Amino acid sequence: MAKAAASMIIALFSIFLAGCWDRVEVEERGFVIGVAVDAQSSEKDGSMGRPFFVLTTQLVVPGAMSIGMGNSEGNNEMAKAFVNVSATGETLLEAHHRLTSRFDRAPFFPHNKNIIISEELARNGQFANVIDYFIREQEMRRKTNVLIAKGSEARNILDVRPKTEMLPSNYIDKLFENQYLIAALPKPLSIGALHKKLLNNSSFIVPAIISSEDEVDIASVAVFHGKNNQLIGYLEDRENKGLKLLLDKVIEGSINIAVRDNLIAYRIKKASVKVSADVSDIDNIRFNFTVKVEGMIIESLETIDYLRSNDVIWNLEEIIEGHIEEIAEAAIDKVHRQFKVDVLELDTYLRTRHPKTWKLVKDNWDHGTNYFSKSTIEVNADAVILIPGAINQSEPIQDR
Amino acid sequence: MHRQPGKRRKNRHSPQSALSYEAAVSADVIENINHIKQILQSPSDLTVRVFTFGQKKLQCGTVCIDGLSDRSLINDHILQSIHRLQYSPELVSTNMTADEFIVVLENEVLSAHHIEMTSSLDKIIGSVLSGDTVLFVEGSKHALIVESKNWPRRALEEPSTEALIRGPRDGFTESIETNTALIRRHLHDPALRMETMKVGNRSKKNLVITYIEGIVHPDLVKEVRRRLESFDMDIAPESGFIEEWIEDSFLSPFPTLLHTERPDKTSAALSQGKVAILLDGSPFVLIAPATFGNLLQSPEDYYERWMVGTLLRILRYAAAFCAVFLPGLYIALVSFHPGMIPSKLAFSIAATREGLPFPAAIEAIVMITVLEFLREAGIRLPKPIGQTIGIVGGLVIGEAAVTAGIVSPVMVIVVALTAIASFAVPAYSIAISFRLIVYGMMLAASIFGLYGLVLGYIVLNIHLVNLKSFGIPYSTPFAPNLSDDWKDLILRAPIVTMRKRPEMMQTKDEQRINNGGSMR
Repeated sequence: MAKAAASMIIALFSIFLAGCWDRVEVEERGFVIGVAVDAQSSEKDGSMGRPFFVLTTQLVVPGAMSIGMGNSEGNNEMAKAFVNVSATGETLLEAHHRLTSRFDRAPFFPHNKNIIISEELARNGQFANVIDYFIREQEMRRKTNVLIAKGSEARNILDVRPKTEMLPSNYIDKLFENQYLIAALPKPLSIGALHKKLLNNSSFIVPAIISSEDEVDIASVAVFHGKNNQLIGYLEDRENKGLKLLLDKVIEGSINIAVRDNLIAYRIKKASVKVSADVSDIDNIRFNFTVKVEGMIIESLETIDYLRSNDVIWNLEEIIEGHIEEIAEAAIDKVHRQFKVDVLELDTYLRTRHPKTWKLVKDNWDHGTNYFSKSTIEVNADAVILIPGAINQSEPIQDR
Repeated sequence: MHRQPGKRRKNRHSPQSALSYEAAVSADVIENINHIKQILQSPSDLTVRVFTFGQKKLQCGTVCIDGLSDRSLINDHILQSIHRLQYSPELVSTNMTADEFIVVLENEVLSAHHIEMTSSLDKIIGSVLSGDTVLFVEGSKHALIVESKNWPRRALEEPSTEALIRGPRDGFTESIETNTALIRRHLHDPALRMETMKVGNRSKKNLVITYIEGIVHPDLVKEVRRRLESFDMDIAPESGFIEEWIEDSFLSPFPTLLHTERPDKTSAALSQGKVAILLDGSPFVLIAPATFGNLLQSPEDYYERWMVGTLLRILRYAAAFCAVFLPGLYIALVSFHPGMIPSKLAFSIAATREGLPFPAAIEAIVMITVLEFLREAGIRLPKPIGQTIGIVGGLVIGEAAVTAGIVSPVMVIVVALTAIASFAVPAYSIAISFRLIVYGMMLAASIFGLYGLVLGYIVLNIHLVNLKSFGIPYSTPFAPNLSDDWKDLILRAPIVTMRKRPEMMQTKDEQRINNGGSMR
């Protein structure tokens, strides 16, 4: 009897003593929704000359969120529902742990939306080292987006005070959702996808971000060399649009085309890309991109009778095709001739479609001998105007 | 595992002496009456009428219990009939013996619909106590038991625990005769069998086992009969007593018998090859066997069109899941895995929990307990002040506790959802067991988080597949997978497609449609 009771108590203890070890109530967690990593040159001795990482976390203050919602009419300024806390360390984990000596709630990363890395770190080849922590640590989510702070400290980006959102990092995350509206908006890059690129030694692009006081802009991308994972340069608005078209990542977007002395806005509703390659000469592989776009006229500053004859539409389609080829050329010019890195995902294309050729070139694809820069890239566009918008003309056609 | 009642009985000391009276009827009326009075200790409601008959002044006596028997029947059909007999000399000759006279009374005089001649005083006392009238005649060692049962009865009412929007409105009452009649009203089947038993050493109540011969598997009836005969108890105030005696596992929180107040539900169960057990004095009829699926079915699923029925079934399974797991899930997510909650929801839950004194687990357990208090109080409170509990419970506990910053509003929502979900479960008996299990799940979640909840779920499932109800696995047709029975489980297939009776019941007559009657 006593034995049974004793074993019962031991069994109970084993449950209650073992239990609750990682129980942290939701209000005691410091929800991290954004992270910025900067470099700080080492000043103190004993750091072996290595730079310090500055880890800035954006932590949610949930209490302020509900208050801010409550009396939003009274004061235009929304209550600050977040705090940015920075800490330095030789490793990111060290910085992370130093953070907890200043912030009472233990940082909790699964709700993290963005990792913003400063241009400085990206340029001096520390990029992959920073990413390592965010992929390796179990608490991190592979869905978190990576961004490059273009021309500024990464932590400044987190200081932006957007007008609509209470949490800056959420605001940045939401910008990526506008893919359907703007062709120049880069696709978000998750650390999961980035991990794949790093393992493959492929060159890649990372969305870049610039900030002013109350807004940010993400209309450019940073180009990274796949060999040493260093930032080489940026693609701006137009080149970025071209690159996105060539990568078949455009969902929707608009293009302005000049007709006579006026402009017409063409909205892409559907875009697709076909790549073909002639690999007979590995010193001059010829790639051919065929970009097919379908769309409609959304804005017509020039008054045209679209329905007069087929020629009107066909002529316009030709102009659009020329324009798209121009945009794509701009992108190719930058990455192919200037940067000489393959962010057009042609390596993937060769690996899957021409594995024999890929075997010959893969060790010197966009570095070393750089077969990529020796190749020729051509673009053909095929544009279709589905409808000239909801109306034919908004004002009578002037006599010419 | 079946109970072995024989073993238990061996060492039982016999209370028989107090409960049965071996004495036989004597020839002396007064002695008989005194005997009865002595055994019953002359209760105030024992009515004795002694009178004499004819020129020979033959002494007769009637004994009955006032209130249990029909006075007008005794007056008009016993006493008056005998008195009138004096004026019809062709029936009674003066030199008749008392025994001959009593036969004449039984066969030709008394106009009651059920008369029994007996010489056992034990039987007489039993009958008197159940409302019959006994007639003694001087010189005869036999007595007549004239049926005169009539006591205040409740009228047929709509079953309050199983109300339906659409469906018959009559429910069982406390009187077993009414209940058997109600079942017969639904099933005019000549193969409907009703077997009567007496239960309770002291209560000696009538119990009826009913089933349809030709549909039910004979072993099931045998097993029900065996279990009913095996137990031994004092009184049986409610069919719940019977249920606890004959159920398969009294250690399980799950009921293995279904109870219902609805004759339509009972007759439908009989036609599926089940056995119903009726107990006098209880409006709740037991149906055996019951599976987990049965307990989440409502007659309305069949009375409404099949799509609606299917929707209701799915809703009910979802409700059952919520009733058991919702508080546990909340604790696990909030205390252990906030990463699994969508960001904005996580932040707003964190905002509402800001500054609360208790961890989510304690909060949940306390709030669920308060809810149980409310439920219990709501049942006990007299109807006129029943509304007070709504105001006190809803407003004071809910609203005030939140504004005072003791409980988070999300917790109040979770508790309310759990309560609503458990009310959506049609069988009250399983809804109560869900209320029990929810504590286990909360405990598991508060110690091990989602991991504990999953463990709890597994333990629950292991228990469910182990459980049997009268030889039929409780989880049929899920676990012994009977694909045909899935038609009437989570989905309710159109009635025209359910051509066969449930496979799990192994009915003798499988065909439900195109069968030309239930008799072969």
